[in-house]
Amino acid sequence: MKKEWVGDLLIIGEIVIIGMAGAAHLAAVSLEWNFGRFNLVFGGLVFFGLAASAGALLYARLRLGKTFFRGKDRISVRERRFEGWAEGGLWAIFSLIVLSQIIFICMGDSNYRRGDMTVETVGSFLTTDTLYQVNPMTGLPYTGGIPNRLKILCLPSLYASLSNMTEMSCAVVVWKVVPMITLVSSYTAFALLSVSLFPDTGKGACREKRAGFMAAVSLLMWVGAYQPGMDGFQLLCCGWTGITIRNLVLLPWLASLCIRRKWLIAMLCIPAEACIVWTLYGCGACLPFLLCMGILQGCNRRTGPAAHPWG
Amino acid sequence: MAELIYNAWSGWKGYTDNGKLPVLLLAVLLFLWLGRKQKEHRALLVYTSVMAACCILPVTGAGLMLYQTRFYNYEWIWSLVPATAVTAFGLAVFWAEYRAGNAGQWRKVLTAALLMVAVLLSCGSLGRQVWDRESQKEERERAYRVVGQLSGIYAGEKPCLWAPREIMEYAREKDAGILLPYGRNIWDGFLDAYAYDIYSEDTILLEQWMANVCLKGEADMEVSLPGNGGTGVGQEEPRAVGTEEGNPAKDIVTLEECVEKALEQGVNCIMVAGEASGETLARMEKVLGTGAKELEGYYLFVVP
Repeated sequence: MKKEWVGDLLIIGEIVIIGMAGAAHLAAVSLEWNFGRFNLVFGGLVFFGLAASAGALLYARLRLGKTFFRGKDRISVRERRFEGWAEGGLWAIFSLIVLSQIIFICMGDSNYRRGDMTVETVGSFLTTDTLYQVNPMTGLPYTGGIPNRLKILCLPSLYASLSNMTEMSCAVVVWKVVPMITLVSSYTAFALLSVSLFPDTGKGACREKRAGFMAAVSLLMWVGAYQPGMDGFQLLCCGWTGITIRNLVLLPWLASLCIRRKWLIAMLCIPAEACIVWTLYGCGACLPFLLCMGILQGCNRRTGPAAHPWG
Repeated sequence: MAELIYNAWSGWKGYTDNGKLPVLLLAVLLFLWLGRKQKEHRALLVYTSVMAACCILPVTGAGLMLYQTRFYNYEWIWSLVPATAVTAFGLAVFWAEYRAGNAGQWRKVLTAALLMVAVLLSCGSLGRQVWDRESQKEERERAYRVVGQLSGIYAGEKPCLWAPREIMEYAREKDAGILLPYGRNIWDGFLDAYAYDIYSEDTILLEQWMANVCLKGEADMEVSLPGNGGTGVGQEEPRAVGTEEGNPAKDIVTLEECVEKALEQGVNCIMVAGEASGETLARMEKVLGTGAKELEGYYLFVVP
């Protein structure tokens, strides 16, 4: 198993969970299930998904033996050491910055809630045991209803389920737990992108470049935490929103997949975005990104790999 | 369309007002295209350059805003630009090449690294806050304390709370069992997109009256009459108080009328700000038939 696959599997796992939540949520809204029933179905899907994954890994282990986990890319002792002081220093800077960001999120008073009502929506689901039957703003039944497109966004149900399973308050789940998961997933996606941007070609210090890339990304997150719409702000102050997950997990991962030319897996991002971001009649950001990169990569290939060794 | 183009142009100006990260992206793109011979990941660079140009130019920016729909503001069209990834890529490449070109000269390399960090930091807001985190934290903690005590008072039943904005803002966040005659979407317009529900004029009047008590402490409130450019709230027979030429006619809305409207909407718990005058409290006690209790600097009326 290639090293990059560990990161890929983490993000694929998250997309599968979002997909399961989306399917269960859609069924619940269409068939007018209560929240308890949605929770049961979603929990069942996750359980079977985990069991199937464990079974697949066990099968692969039995079939392929130890090489499946070690693979050709097994990290040697030499590889574990840093290439030089610069690489070690950059990773240290990266670690410190990420740690400070985790502390910042844990403090919990930095959440930007203008235009967002996720906590109220999750609270309404849990209190009334229904999905979208009362207006989260008032707790009173809807008079005019809500747009159908909004009804199929599954993140509030997913968070409500998480809150219900862990018995944590919805504010803690939405403002602390989920942003931390998003932060880890985002850096995983950027790490995969760094491996794609700086592949080990035998020339040049690719590992130092990767460390520099990750340190720059983490610093850019702090620097960009100044206004809504910036990546840093989204990651540190709005980590629970669908747009943040799309911009900071799906899109960097998609860029990495496009560079690696893994088009089939890349297509997973499109339905995942549809389940978490209100794209209305637009097609979101993942589809145009994938199309453009596909066309450009196709043109790039025609000009010959010799001209662009990393392209 | 002209309005959309104007929005796109003013959006770009607003986007670069507080920080200069988009400018740093452009500088990095210039470096990657013109500053070196090797062009790795040409596809990603072409895509980023074209998309960034489309976001900056007003006409294409307006097109992208149409594509993402009016639900989102200008800044969200930048979602299509992998700005962080490409900026970090450029910085990493610059750093690695500079270090390789100055091998052994650690002072030079260290100076360059510090300069890079300084440039990066100067592209942020340099400590300016876009919104006041501290006051949000204080407001929330106070509201949570109030709502916590309310939940204790109304144990086993659902309070329908009518209170000042800073309490209503956080009430359902703390306890989703609390009902409100109006939610924070009445002052946060973005939230209106999530539902087709609209508030009645009576409900809007309740919000205005409560804001007026917080502001002036007065029990009665003047509202502009319909047809005079005002909000038109209030259904009662108008009692004009300022009909001289040039002055719009005003309607007086009394505390008693507002309380009646609130009770009609199911409100069973009213809080008024500590700034409320003695007359306001006395009239409130009279109309509700219950005494005021002090709670965290507010006056609480539990409707029997």
